[in-house]
Amino acid sequence: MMLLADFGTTYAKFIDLAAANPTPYLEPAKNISRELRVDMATGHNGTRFTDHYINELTALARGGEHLIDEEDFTLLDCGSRDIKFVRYEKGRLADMGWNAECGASMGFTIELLGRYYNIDYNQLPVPKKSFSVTCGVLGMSQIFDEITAGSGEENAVASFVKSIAINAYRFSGEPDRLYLSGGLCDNPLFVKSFPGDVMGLGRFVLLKGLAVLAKKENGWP
Amino acid sequence: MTTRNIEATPFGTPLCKAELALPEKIERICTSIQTTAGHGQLPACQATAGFWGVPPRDFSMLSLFPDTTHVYGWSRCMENKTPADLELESHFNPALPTIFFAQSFCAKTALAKHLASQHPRALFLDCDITAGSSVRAKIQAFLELSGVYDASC
Repeated sequence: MMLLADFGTTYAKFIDLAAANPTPYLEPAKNISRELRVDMATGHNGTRFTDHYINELTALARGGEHLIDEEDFTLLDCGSRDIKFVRYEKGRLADMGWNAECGASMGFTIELLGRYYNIDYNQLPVPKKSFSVTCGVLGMSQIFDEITAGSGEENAVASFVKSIAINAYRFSGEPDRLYLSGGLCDNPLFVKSFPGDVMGLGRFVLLKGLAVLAKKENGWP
Repeated sequence: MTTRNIEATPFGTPLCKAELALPEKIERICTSIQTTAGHGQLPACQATAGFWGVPPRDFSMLSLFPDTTHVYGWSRCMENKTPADLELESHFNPALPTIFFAQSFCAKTALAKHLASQHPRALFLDCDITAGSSVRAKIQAFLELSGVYDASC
C-alpha cells in the first residue's frame, strides 16, 4: 500500500498508488480514525497522520502543473476552511496566496446554509445581487438582514454564495480564465457565480500533486 | 529640531550577503545599529534567495530561508547605517527569487508590494504579529517551487 491523503477540514481525500487501479475517494473527516497513518499527506489536518507532510500550496501547484496544459494559468482552490491560489506565467510560479483568515470557512458556511435552509444549489439561478461579505462567518449576518428586508431565504443565500465567489475571484487576481479546485467545484451555483470563465478540476487536485511528488521521490507510478 | 535622518555614510553590508542562518543574520544586523563601530570582514556567499524588508516581529519565519539568503530592503539600510537611503532600500536582484516582506498595516507594505510587482520572481508577504501556518506555507512553497531548496542543498 502507498496511501496518499489530503486531509481537509470536512472531508479527507485518499488514493492508494499501490492498488491495481488507483482511484481517489472521499471520507468525511469526522469518520477518520485517529490511529490512521498514511505515507504522504497534505491538508489542514495532515500533519497528524503522517511523517511526510507536504504543504498545501506546494501540493496545489504540483497538481496544477500536472493537470493544466498551459504555461500561463491561475488555479484557485476553494475548500471548506480556506482559499488559496497559484498563478503561473511562462511555466513558472508568478504569484500565490493563501487566505485562511478572511477567507475563513467559506465552503463550510455554504454547506451549512444549504442544509439548514434545505437548499438545492443545483436548482438555484445566479442572482443579480451580491453584497459585501468579509468572510463566510461574518457574511451570515448579511443573509439574515436580507431575509428581514423581505428577500426570500433561497435568494438571500444565493446572493451570499455569489458574494463569496466574487471575493474569491478578486483574491485570485481576477483572471480571464480561472481553474477551480476543491469541494466548491461541486456547487454549480458557486461555479456559475464567477465573473469570468471557470474550468472546474474537481476536489482531487492536491491529491494529484502528492502523487506527482511521490512519483518523483519514490518512483511510484 | 531635526526631523530627518541625515546619516549618509555607508558602513557596508557584509552581513546581508554572508552565509549565515537568516535569524542570526537579522539579529546581528539589529545589534549592529547599537554601535558606531564598523563591521568586521565577512565573505559574501553565492545567493540562492532574497529576503527584502524590515526585521520581522516574529523571527521564526526566517528559519525557513536557506543560509545563502541575501538581505535587502530596510534591513540592509540598517546594517549600512543609512536608514533613509531609499535607493538602497529599493534595490533588489531580479535574478534571485525574493520574498518582499512587510508587517501588516506598516507603511512599508506599499513599497514591498510595488517592488514585488517589478521583480520577475517575487512573492509579496505580509504578516501581522506571529507567522501563522499560511504565512509559513507561503514561504516554504515559494522557495520550493522556485527551486531555492534544490539550489541550496
